[in-house]
Amino acid sequence: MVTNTSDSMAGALDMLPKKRQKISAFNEKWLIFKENFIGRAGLILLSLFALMALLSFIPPLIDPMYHPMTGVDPKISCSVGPSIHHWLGTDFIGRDILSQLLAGAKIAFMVGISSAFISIVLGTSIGMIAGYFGRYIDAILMRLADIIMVMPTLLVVLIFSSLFGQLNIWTIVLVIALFRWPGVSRVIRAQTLTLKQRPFIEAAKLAGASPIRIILRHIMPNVLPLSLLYMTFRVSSAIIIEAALAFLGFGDPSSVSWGMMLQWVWKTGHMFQAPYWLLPPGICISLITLSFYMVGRAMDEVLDPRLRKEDD
Amino acid sequence: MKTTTKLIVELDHIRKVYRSKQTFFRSDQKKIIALECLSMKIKRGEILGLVGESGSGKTTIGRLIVKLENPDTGKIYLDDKDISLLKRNSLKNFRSRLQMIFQDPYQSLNPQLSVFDTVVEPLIIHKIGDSTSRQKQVNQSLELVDLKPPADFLDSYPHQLSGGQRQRVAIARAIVLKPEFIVADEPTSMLDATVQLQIFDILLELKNKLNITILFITHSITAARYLCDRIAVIYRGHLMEQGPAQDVMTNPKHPYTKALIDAHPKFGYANKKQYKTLLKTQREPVNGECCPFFIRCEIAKMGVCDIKTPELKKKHNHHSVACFFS
Amino acid sequence: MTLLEVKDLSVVYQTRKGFITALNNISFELNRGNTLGLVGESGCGKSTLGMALMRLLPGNASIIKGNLFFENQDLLKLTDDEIRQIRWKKISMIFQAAMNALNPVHRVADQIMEAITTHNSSLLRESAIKQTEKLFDLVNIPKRRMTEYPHQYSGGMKQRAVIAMALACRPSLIIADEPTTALDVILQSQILESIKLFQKKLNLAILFISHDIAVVADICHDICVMYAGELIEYGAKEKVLGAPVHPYTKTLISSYLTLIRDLRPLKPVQDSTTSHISNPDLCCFLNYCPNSEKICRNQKPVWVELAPDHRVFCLLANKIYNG
Ligand SMILES: Nc1ncnc2c1ncn2[C@@H]1O[C@H](COP(=O)(O)OP(=O)(O)OP(=O)(O)O)[C@@H](O)[C@H]1O
Ligand SMILES: Nc1ncnc2c1ncn2[C@@H]1O[C@H](COP(=O)(O)OP(=O)(O)OP(=O)(O)O)[C@@H](O)[C@H]1O
Ligand SMILES: [Mg+2]
Ligand SMILES: [Mg+2]
Repeated sequence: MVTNTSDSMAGALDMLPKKRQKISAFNEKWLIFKENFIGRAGLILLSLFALMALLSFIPPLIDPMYHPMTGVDPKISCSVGPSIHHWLGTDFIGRDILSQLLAGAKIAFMVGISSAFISIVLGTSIGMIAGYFGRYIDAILMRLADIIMVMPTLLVVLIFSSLFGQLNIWTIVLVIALFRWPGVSRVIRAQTLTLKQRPFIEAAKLAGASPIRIILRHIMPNVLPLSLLYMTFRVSSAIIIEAALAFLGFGDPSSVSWGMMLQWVWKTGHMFQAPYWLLPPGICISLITLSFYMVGRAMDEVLDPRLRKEDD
Repeated sequence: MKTTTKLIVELDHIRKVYRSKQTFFRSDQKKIIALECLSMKIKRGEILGLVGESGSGKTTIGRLIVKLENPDTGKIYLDDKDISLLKRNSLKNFRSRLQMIFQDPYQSLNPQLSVFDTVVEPLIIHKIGDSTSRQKQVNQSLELVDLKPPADFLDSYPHQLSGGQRQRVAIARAIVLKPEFIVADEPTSMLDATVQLQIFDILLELKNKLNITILFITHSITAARYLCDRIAVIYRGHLMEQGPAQDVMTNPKHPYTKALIDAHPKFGYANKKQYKTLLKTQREPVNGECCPFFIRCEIAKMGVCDIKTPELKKKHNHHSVACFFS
Repeated sequence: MTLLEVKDLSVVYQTRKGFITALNNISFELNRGNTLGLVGESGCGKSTLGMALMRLLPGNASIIKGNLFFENQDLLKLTDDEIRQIRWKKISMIFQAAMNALNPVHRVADQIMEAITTHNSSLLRESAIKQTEKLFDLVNIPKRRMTEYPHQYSGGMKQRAVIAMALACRPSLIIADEPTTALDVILQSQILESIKLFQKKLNLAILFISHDIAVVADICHDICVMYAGELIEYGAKEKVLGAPVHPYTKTLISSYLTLIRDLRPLKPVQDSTTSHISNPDLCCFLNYCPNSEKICRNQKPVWVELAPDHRVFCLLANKIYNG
């Protein structure tokens, strides 16, 4: 799409509300963001999930039987539906589903954000280095990115876990991160390539700045918004990958994640008998990925539409 | 003038061609000849004005001298040393001696850095002074370019400044290191007459007090006349005329220089005599060697100008011209 | 017929250090087929005025007062959708950051064609291409360079491409913010000629922002002189440039470098003996004014009408005018 930048700027500014009380460029962007329906909905959803994660430590405090992993209700020995003691019911050995759901939110945030963060840091630095130095460094790094990009993350993790046995949650985070940076690095590299030609980079070069300084001081602040945008997309994909792994039985057995819950439903044959057990984790997974995605989309619109590229 | 004035920069038969990238689908490669066999000498402590039309290669010369770009053929010497041989440490030293003020102040300032960060950057890189002395130097530079009081501007970001204010920040950045040589690429194109004069006076002061050499790129011949010791006129990458400013302006020899003077907007004085050296309709371009100005030249003669490229010849008093009929 | 009428326009920028008054009580009119020149010192608010007319002010700016009538409707009262209909089609702008208006990742010709087709969706591709070629012709860029990318153009060429883009939709008002700064004099005079031609043909109104009085003198019918956000002299070109009255206009004109004047031009000097006065009610040029008198330090300046087409915002206008 060919857009006249001045026109697109007009578009962005037109979205501003009438009352003008902004001070910085950041505030201005924040306002555009707030005005965006998708962004607002996503943000509200996300804060709900964050609240869930924060509340996850409460149930075990009330009664040890509400511990998501080890707590079992002594009176119950099979899966039952919602009741006063168990608002969402229990699983097949009498563990509380609500407290599992809350604990799952915590894991989802942990896995999603930490692996997205690592992959963004990796992707951004590799992208900037490849873009700035060019030539063989670029060629090597980008071929590496290509190779990793075509490897299906899920499959690789499966192979890993069959090689090394059960993986712990941090290993999973790391593996997801290590396999999800190439998409980011390509975008950042492209951005760096256009920045590299801008006279202000040349001006810095003329001032005698070293390549490291140019990258850190001049290029990084200019690509950071884009990286952050990609981080929101990466969070969604990391959560989905983790859920899929857990569902397939390759998750960390010592933690409760939503994927793990789904696996229990399936393994114990409650798929069609216990909707109170199946639906909550399923809906949560869909909604949390959706909400991160919505926030990302909204941020995307705030940023220069020129930067808009499809997520891989 | 002493004949043995020391040279600071010498360009020796420089040729620079820009090629458009060959792509998979298009194998034809477009070539744009930015500079053609250009030789030029810049003396220490002078202001040399470089005038010429848009796209004639003025910026390219500046970029070659500060080593942002390398010539295809030819050599550039700084103090008799070939700059293409510079590596690492000597390159950094070189960078502190030469600075450039870029043409477009909207592009040459980092949008994410405040005015202070922009101007102090060279001092930090070359590890000059401590933070208080740096602060002082930055303030001084900003005051020099009439961004007064500096405190009002230090924390501003480029998007909060007007065109002329950005341009002055760019000038402040270039002079904060007190380099020996400044390439000023249309440094005052966005400034009103009064501030323009102020900047010219700063440049003159730098030259007189600190013996700084300036390559002043401009398309305003009046500015060149006011500021420069010598003027070089280039056209499509060829040096057309070169000489003492007063001489070139009052007694132009090349038809292109005359055309430039003709086209200068008349303001504040009655219509002066026109040289009328520019053809109304252009001639058909000639294949092969010819005078670069041939297709637009009124006085060109068939059989002379369309078969050979004129060479730069000294006329008198350091004034040289590349034209068969001057 | 009056196409554009600006009435008492005031704009402030909010910054961390407080408010900056960028425009203060600006009023002027512009007729169809006329060119109004806007000159003034750097940073006096010329671009801000242009942006306000396009309703494109940045977020931290606010119009605190005034009206902008364009074809008898108040631009400030229009909704965002309505203003989008007018922008580019009826009012277009050549931005001061001309080179930045070009998208680095698309060919120049494509971008201009895009500007034509988005606002004229019924147009066939062939005729859009023809129009684009005509525009390139008009601004004197060879056809073979149409398909290049912006970074392959020199500064002046980019500026010409942007001029072509502003003309693409045949607007009735063009705000040209320093459209010829990056051009050499030969090209500048050619472009000014073609702008004049175009203007006659389309009965175009132009608000021509420039710091170069010679250019303004060449192309404009009326002239506004601004200083520090205020309009200080307004009138027909012959009057304002031929017989300037306001001390700032005088210094501006006298510091203009010409080819024949050998005298060192005057430039404004701050009178260091008097202390710096900063009272927003008083004359904005007071601290630099060579003619200032006691009355200037005590009284607000007023508009003095010296002729029907010549007004000056100075208390001493009559005195200066009469010698
Ligand atoms: N990176 C590039 N790639 C291709 N062509 C280029 C590049 N940079 C410059 N050119 C071309 O080289 C020629 C000379 O350009 P240069 O920028 O030196 O002109 P200039 O004299 O500075 O013009 P202006 O006064 O308009 O800035 C122009 O035709 C320009 O299009
Ligand atoms: N976004 C902004 N935030 C704060 N101040 C601003 C902003 N934009 C402009 N200003 C200030 O407003 C004043 C007017 O700016 P404007 O760009 O209108 O000047 P101008 O007359 O176009 O100057 P020039 O001829 O140098 O381009 C300047 O002092 C500038 O610093
Ligand atoms: Mg240039
Ligand atoms: Mg401006």
